[in-house]
Amino acid sequence: MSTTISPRDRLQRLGDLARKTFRFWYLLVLFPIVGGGLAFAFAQVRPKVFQSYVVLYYEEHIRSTVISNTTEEVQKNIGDRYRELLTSRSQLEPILKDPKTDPYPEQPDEDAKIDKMRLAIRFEARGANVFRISFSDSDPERCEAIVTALTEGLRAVDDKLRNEQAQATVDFAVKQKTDAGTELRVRERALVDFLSKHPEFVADPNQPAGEGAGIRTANRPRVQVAAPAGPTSGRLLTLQRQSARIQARLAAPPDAPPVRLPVERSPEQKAADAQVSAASKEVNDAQGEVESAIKHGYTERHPEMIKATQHLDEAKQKLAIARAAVPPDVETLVVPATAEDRANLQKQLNEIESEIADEERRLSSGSKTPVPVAAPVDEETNKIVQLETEHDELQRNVDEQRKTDASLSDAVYRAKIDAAQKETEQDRLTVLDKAFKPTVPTGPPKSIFLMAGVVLFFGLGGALAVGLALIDDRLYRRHDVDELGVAVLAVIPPVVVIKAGKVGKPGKRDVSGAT
Amino acid sequence: MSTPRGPKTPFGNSPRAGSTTGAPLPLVTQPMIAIEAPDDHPATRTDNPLQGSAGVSAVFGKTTALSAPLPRPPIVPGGAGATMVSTAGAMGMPSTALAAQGPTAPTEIGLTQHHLPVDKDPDPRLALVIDPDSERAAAFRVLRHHLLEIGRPQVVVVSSPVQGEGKTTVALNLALALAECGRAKVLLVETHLRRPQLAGVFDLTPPWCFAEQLAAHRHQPMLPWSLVEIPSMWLHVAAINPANERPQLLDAPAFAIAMERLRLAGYEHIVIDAPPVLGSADVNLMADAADAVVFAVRSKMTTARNLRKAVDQLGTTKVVGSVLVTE
Repeated sequence: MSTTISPRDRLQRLGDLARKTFRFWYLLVLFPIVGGGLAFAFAQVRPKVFQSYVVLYYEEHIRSTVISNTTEEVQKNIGDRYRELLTSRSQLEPILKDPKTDPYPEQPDEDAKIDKMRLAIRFEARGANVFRISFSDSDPERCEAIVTALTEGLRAVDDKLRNEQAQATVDFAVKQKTDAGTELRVRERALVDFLSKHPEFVADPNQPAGEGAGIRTANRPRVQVAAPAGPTSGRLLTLQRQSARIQARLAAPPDAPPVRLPVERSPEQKAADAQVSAASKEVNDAQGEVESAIKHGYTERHPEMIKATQHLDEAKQKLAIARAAVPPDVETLVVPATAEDRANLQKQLNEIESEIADEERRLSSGSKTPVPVAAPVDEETNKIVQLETEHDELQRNVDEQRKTDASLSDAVYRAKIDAAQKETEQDRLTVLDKAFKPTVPTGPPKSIFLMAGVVLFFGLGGALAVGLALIDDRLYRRHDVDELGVAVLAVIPPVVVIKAGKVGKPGKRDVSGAT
Repeated sequence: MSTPRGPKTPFGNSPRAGSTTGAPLPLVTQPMIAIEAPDDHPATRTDNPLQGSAGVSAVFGKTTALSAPLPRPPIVPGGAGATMVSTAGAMGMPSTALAAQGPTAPTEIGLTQHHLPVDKDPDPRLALVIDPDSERAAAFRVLRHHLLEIGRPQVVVVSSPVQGEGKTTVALNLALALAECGRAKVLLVETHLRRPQLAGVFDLTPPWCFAEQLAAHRHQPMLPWSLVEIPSMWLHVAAINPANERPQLLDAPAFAIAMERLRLAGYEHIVIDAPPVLGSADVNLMADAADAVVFAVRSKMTTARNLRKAVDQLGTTKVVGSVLVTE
C-alpha cells in the first residue's frame, strides 16, 4: 500500500530524524562533559610557552625624492624582504650557536634547529611601515634575548645591504662617467684637429648650429649666401657652400671673439679635481655630523656640536682652497685669420669664385631651365664634399658623446646623493617597542580551552547522534513500513490513559506483557 | 450429541467437570458437540492435501463421528466460581452428536465457559474490552475490515519478526474484532510455546493445554478438542497452560492436523497467536497450514532489517500485511 508523500510527510520525517537524534540525548550530554574534562586537563598539563616581541617602524629619515628628484620607491614588498632577511640561515646561525640563546639545546641537527626556529619566529606586517617580530619559547629570559638578537641582526643586515648597494651604484656610475668623458675628449680632439686643418668649417654659415655660431651671428648682415637664380648643379652648390665658408672666415672682424675648442684635461687638472672631490666629501661628512648633533638635540654649546661645527668650517675652507688650486682650462682658440691666412684664404676664394663662374656659364649654355644638370666630378668638388662629410660625422660624434656624458653626470650625481643619504640615515628600522621578558604564558586561557572542548565534543556528540539516527532503521511511521513493500493493514494508536480530570491525554503504555 | 464418556486420555484420568477449585469432583458427563463442516470447506475437498496423506487418512480412517470426553477437568480460573462447563451449543452451534469417522468428519469440541473476573481490571491489551469506543479499538476494527477485504482468510497467523512487538495484542484484538457481537465464530489459538500469554490475559487455566492437545491429537486425531469459551467476548480460546511442561518446538504434523480438524469445527476465523519468525521455523510451519500471515510491527522497536528478514523467511505468498502498533 503506497501513499503519496506530502510536504507535511516530509516535515514529519524531518521531525522523526530529530526525534531519533534526541533518542541519543545522553551522547549530547556525555560528550561535552568528557570534552570539557579533557580540555581542562590538557590546559593544565600543557607546557607553558612564553612569547616576546618587538615592534619596528620603517622610516626614511631623508626623503630621496626631494633630494634627487626621482620617483618615490615603492615599498610594497618590504615586509616580505624583511621576513626573508629575518629567517635567513645567516641570521639564525649565530643565535643558535650561542648557548644562551639556543632554544633547542637537545637538538643535535643544525638544520632541524633552524627549521624549528623558523617556525617559532613570527613576522607580521602591521600596516604599511610597522612590523612585529615575535618568538615563542619555554624560557622567558631566553625568549627576550632571542627577540633582541633577531632585531639587532635584522637592522644590521639591512643597513649593510643598503650601503653596499648604494656604494656599488656610485662606483658603477662613476666608472661609466669616466669612460664617457674619456671618449668625449677623444672625439673632441678629433674635431679640433679637423677644424685646425680646415678653419673655414669653424664658422660654417651653412649650419644653423655649430662651431662658430657666434661669429656667424655677429657677421650675419655682411655674409650673404645668395641662392642660385639660374640653372644649378651639385658641383655648383658645393662650390658655393665652400665660397660662403671662406667669405665668412674672411669677414670675421679682428676683434671677434675666438672660437673655443675644448681639449682634454691635463694631469694637473685631474689631480686638482680629485682634491676638490675629497674636500667635497669631507664637507658632506661634516654636514652629517652637524645634522646628527641636531638630531640628538644638542645645543650650540654642546661639545659635540662645537666639534662638528668646527669640522664643517675646516672642510669648507679646504674645499675652497682645492677649487682655487684647479688650473684653468687650456682651450684651443681658433682666432680670426692672420694676414698670411687671409691672403691664402683670399686666393682660395678667388679660385672657387672662378670655378663657380665657369660652372654657371656651362650651365647657362646647356639649358635655360633651372633643372640641375649633371656636372663632371672634379677633384676639388670631391674634396669639399669629403671635408663636409667628415666634419658632420665628427660633429655628430661629439654631440652624441656630450649627451651621454651629461646623462651620466646626472646619474653619478643621483647615485652619490642616494649613497650619502643611506650612509647618513642609518637605522631605518626604528624600535618602537623593544623586546621584553614575558611573565605570563602565551596562549588562550583555560576557560577558552574548556569552552572549546565542550563545544567541540558537543559537536562530536551531536554528529554521532545524528549518525546513529541516520543508520537507525527502526520503523517509526507507516511510510517506513510502506517503503519495505509490506502493506500496512492498520495502524494501532497508542493507549490513551484517562486520568481523573483529564481526558484523552496519552500516558505510558503498559507493555510488560507484550509479545 | 454423543456421550461425554470416552477412553482414558493419554494425559490422565477421565475428565471431570464442574470443579472450581481443583478439588476432586464427581465425574460429570460432558456434552460434546459435533460440528459439520460445510460442503465447500477445504477439508472436505478431494484436493485437500491432508486427504492425500496416507498418515492422515489412516488416522481419520472411516470414522464418521467420534465421541470423546474431555481429557482434563474444567478450568480453574482466577475468578472464583466464574467458570462453568458448557458446550458449543452455548455459542449457538449445533449440538447434534457426530458419529461419522474420517477426515471430513465434524470435529468434536469440548467447551469450558469462562468469565473474566469482575473484581479485577481486565488486561490492558484487551483494547476492545476496556474501551470499545476508543480510537485504538477502532483501529482493530479497521484491521478486521481490511482483512476481510483481502478474502476472508479462515486461518490467520499473527506473528512478528522478534519478541515483544505486540503479537498477542494484535492477535487478541483481531480475534475480538472478528468475533465482535457474535458476527462470526472465532477461535483464538496460542502457539507460542516458549512464552504463553493468553492464560494470563484472560486469567484462566486451560482445562487441557493446547500443546498437550496437539501431542494427543497427533495419534488420535478424532479426539475432541478442549477449548475455553468466553461468552462475553463471543470467543473460543485454545491456550497453553504456562504451568505445564511443554515442548519448546512445535510439532508440525500435529499442528497441521489440528488446523484441519479445527477448520472442520466450523470456525469462520481461527486467529493464531504465533511465536516470532526469526530464530525458528515454527511460523513457517504454521504459515503452511494458514491462509494469511499478519505481522505485528511495533513502532520505535521493530527494525526494517528484521522485518525484511522475516518477510524473506516466510515468503510473500501468505504474508498479507502488517499492523503497526504505535506507542
